[in-house]
Amino acid sequence: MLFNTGTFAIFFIIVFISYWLFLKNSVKWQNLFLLVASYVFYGWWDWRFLSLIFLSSLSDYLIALKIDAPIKPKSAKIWVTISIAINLIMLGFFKYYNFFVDSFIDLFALFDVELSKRSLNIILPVGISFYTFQTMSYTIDVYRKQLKATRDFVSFFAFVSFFPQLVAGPIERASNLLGQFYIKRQFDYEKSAIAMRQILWGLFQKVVVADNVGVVVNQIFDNYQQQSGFSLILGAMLFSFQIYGDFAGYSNIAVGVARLLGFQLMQNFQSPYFSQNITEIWRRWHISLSTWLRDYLYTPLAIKTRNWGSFGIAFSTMLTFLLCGLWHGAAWKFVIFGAFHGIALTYDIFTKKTRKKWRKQIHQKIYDPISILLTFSYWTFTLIIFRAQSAKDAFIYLKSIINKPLFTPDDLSLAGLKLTMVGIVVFFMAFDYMGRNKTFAIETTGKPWPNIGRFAFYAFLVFLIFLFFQTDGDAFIYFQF
Amino acid sequence: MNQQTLLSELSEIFNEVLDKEGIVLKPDTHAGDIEEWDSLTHIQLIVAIEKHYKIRFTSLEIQHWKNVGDICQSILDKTM
Amino acid sequence: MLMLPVFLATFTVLWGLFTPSFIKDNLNYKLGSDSFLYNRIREAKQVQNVDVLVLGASQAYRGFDPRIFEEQGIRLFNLGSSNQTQIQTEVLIKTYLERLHPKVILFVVNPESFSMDGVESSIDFLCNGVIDNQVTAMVFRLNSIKTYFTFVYAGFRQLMGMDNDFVHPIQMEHDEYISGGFVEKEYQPYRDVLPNDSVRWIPRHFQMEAFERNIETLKKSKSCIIFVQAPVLREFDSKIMNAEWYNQYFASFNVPYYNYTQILNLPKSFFYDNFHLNQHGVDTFNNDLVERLALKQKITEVTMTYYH
Repeated sequence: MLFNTGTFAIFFIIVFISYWLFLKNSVKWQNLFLLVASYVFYGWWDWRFLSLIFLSSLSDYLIALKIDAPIKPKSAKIWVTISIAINLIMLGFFKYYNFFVDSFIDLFALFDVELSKRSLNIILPVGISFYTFQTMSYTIDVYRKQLKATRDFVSFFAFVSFFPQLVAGPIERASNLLGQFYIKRQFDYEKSAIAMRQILWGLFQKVVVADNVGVVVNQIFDNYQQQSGFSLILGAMLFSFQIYGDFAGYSNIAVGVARLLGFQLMQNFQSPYFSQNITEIWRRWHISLSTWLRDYLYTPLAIKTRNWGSFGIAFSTMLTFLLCGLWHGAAWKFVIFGAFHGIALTYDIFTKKTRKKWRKQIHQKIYDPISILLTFSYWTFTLIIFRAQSAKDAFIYLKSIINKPLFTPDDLSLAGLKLTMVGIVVFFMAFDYMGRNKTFAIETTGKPWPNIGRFAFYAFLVFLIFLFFQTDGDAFIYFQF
Repeated sequence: MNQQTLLSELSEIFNEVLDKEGIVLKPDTHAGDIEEWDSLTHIQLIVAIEKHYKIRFTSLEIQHWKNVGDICQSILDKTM
Repeated sequence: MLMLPVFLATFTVLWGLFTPSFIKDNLNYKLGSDSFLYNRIREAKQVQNVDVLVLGASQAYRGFDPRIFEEQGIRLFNLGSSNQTQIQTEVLIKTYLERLHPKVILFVVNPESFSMDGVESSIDFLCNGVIDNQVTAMVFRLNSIKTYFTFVYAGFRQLMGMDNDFVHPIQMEHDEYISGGFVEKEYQPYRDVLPNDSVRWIPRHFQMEAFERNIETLKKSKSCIIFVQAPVLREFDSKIMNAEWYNQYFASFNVPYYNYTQILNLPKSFFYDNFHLNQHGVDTFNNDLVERLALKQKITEVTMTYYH
């Protein structure tokens, strides 16, 4: 079930009404109901993979209890390793098996050894990268004694599978979300109104920005060999906005939906494109993932290597971002994507003081906008690798930007469409900038206005969502044999 | 060594590592209170503290810390 | 909440009036089209009592030339329009059948229209037709964002009489509108490419339902109904995987059915693209039709049976 479909709307209305009307007096029943609803939500896509969520939840539920019991530190370490192993094996098999096997075969092929191909036809279970990270963090927190293991079976299972954030985050920590399952949730009109606003903005980001910009992006990336340099740059920049609109839109809807049920999820994006360096982007982009990696990967690595001096920091940063890249998908292009970010962060670390000096010398009014532009350009450059079919395509794409003529007469075709997209992006970024210190862009937009003006603004967003909704109006259905 | 002297010594280390002046640590100060105290400087702080007191923390110890008070406790455990 | 529809309608009108047309969104408004629906609808309102009525998509309005039938003494009106699907045919039947009062109805049943969602043609109807109860009902039946937007905006324009001065040209590029609803393409040789892959026109359920409703209505009208598949290029026809399924479907209605692609088996020289005959082809096709279907006898029969 996707958020921007009618099926989800009906599903959520049923959940919302039952939850607040019939079950409001019992936290226990509400939790059980949320658990069932979440499993239905996931099972709608493929019920077989419910067993994976169940397995991941069950193993961490039991292991955390083991760790929390009075046992020797050594045994606790063994148990936490088992928990991590179970999750990583699950993730490794379903997401990375073919990638590893193929890479292994390619490696041998370099030495003229031919191995037979044994790729399996594995379907990637939706959301597996999200919920395995969520359960792992719980067990590790218990191991670090930052959290007590829970005996509330239903709450824990509902926490792992909580449908608003199950398939695409935010990756919640037990320390934030699990506790909210224990206490009574109150329906609050003010909060619900904010939630609706957040969902509205999320839909705008997804339906108006991402889906429409995506049409142009696809045209350019699918035929990148026929494009002018200008077109290629435009395509890459538009992709930056597409992926931001898509992902941040999803997160906003998730947070809003959870809010309507009385839960507060973490903020996942905070106007990342106004960052002044790549480090800052990662503080504002997919915050739930970057803080996860910081707490469970980077920090332990950096602590372990703390006596290696600068090299230890650089090493930990690089390794973290290589794996961060790989988290995004099982392909070398994602590893390369991660590597470029590792390099940028390492650069940031070692030039911190120099940059501070530059900023003073040049004057921040000039320095800051330039930094924002340079940061965005570098980010867009790495996203070309992210979006291209393969690392090789990315390389040709980048080469074409320089080699191809900057403009060709073809650029004028679909000029209207491209101009529309630029207009949408400008509108989007204007609000994103104005709301950069808020939890979402239009959290407080229109607060001082008269009611009618504020309502007209929301109605205008609804209007734009309908106006730019991508309908699958394909009249001709070709069927290939 | 009591906690009060420890706190003023730590404050000095913080001032130096974070390249900032006027940091006065309290037992309940945590990373969120000081802008420069991030995942990167955290490691530098640990290294500086270990060097100053000639001690070595375990990874698990470090990860148990929630605030400056916890750090003091770890140091006191090692130096007493 | 009650204000929302008012706001939405206001924004729609303002958007339609003030944004340039190149913006690709769900609000489409285009006065005039190469299917000349504008002229056809306005002519249909003046015409009464014809011998033959043609319904269908482009194979209809580009395939049945009233001048050829006139030579044989048959009065034909062509209500075909671009990408017309059963949903629009239904509107035409309900609006014009009574006044046109045809003796024979040639229902052009080329299968691709059964696989269409009908949105494009609806927009044609909203912009170039007249928005009345039937067209409004069609909009709600389709329940598509695109038609709703065009409905609101086109409705506003018609209410305000904003397009009253519009005169649709009789000639556009290579096409000329011929009185009686036909569009003649200036002669040009076949230039089209065949698709590499097979084609399958997957019928949509709601189109089939509308088709069956249409047949019901027509049968009640006492006119003689005949299904015709206008010729398409035989090389193209052979690529359609489920052509035979359609043959059986149309044959199941107990209505005479002529598949002219198979009957005439015309070569490329009679077509200008995969779907459409050139004027030479239309000549051949129409003359054969009059004879093979014994149209004149049918008209007389119906007239004798019901109108005396």
